[in-house]
Amino acid sequence: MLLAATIQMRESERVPDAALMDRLVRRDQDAMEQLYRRYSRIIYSLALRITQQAASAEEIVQDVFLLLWRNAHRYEVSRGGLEPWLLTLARNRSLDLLRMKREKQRRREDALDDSPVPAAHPSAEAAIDRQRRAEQVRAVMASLPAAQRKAIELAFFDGMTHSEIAAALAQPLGTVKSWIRNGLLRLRESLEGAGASPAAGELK
Amino acid sequence: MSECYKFRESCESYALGALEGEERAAFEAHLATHCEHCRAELDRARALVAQLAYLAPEQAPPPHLQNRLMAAIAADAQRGPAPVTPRGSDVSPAAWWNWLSGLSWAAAAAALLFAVWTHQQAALLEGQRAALEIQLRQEAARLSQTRTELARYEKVLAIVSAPGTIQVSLDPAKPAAPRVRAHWNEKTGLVLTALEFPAPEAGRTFQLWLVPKKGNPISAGIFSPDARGEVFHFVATSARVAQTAALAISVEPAGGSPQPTSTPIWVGALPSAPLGVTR
Repeated sequence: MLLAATIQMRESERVPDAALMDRLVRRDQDAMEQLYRRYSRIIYSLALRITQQAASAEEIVQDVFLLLWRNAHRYEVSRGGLEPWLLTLARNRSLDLLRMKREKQRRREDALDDSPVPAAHPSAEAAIDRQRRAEQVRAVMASLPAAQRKAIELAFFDGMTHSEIAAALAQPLGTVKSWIRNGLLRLRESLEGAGASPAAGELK
Repeated sequence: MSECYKFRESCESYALGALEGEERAAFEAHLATHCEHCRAELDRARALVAQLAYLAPEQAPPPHLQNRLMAAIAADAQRGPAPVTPRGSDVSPAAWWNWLSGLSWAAAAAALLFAVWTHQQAALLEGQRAALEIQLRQEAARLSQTRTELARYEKVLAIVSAPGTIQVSLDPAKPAAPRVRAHWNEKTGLVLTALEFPAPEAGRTFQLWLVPKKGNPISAGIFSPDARGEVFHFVATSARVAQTAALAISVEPAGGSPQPTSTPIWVGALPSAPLGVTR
């Protein structure tokens, strides 16, 4: 059963995003379901990592897909892939919620919620090339010195600016700036160097 | 275009949201000049930065989320077509991303909340309707039960209150078993009543017997208690009180027997006093 589901998932993964978006403009709910299966996991994981709250993450997943549904007609293939757009949307929304939460907490003078994110489950249904790209992203980041990796994570997951990161890590501002830029350039080289993955091609 | 090189190092930090202060203001001012080169670079940087999402520990969303979303979308689809903005009518190629960055979350959230709310309201109303229907059905059943009970009490009353009715107490052979009463009037009939009466075992039934002073017992029908353990067993019989010695209840195979096949559990002798004399 699981194997059949996996194969089916890979078949559906072959339908390009742009084709599904065309169907979405025509209000095809089946296309919506396929896009949900394709991207809900990474969006949920991202939102959960940023907000640290399952309820918030669920809300964000729902918001993102409803916005996609209602704004499919705005999608333009030429402007890059759907995936980065969805992830950017999910990240912005998550950081908005995070900031609102922090603002509330600051007012209450409460401590920050540091509840750990539950352990990851390896995904059986994720498409192979996306899986490989995800592994590549993790590998590049793991190869960076811990402080440099932390600087990028603070920016991406916590929405911190250069100077906030410099303060948090007790490092000179210039160092933080070049860490982030060099780290991202290394990631780009790795992803574009791989070549084989179609999604990496979208990054060029 | 000539000043683009100045911003080559800003794109990634801007996409990441880490760029701040004067650097950020300068880059945004440059983007506002519709520099296609830098806008394309920014798209590329955004796509790159988005890949950092894969650093998040992987976690599957709960299954109910898909149902909830698809329900909201089905409700939204019924409301009519999407907001009309034909594709390609926007001449700016950056509309897709710009729409994202300029998106007013409050307005978007309000629209979404309305869609979800409408769906939830519909679901709520449907739930309330179903609950009322069930309640109505229960009330109807209760009313019909009340009518049945009323009719039964009227029948009992007709027997109990009629002149010449005799009362018989049937004492159980087992001390734990309930007492059973019978009221018998030759004109209006016989009624057997009991409370907290045990249900018969599977495949068995209770049977009432009229035991004449001479001859074999006469069957007065089979009965079982209702769900509440109450017994109202009405018998129309041509037997005469004066010729009957006792009433007895035995356990018989389902459907009853022509003659008792087991020792009666309840037996009550008829009063020896002559008719018309109340005790």
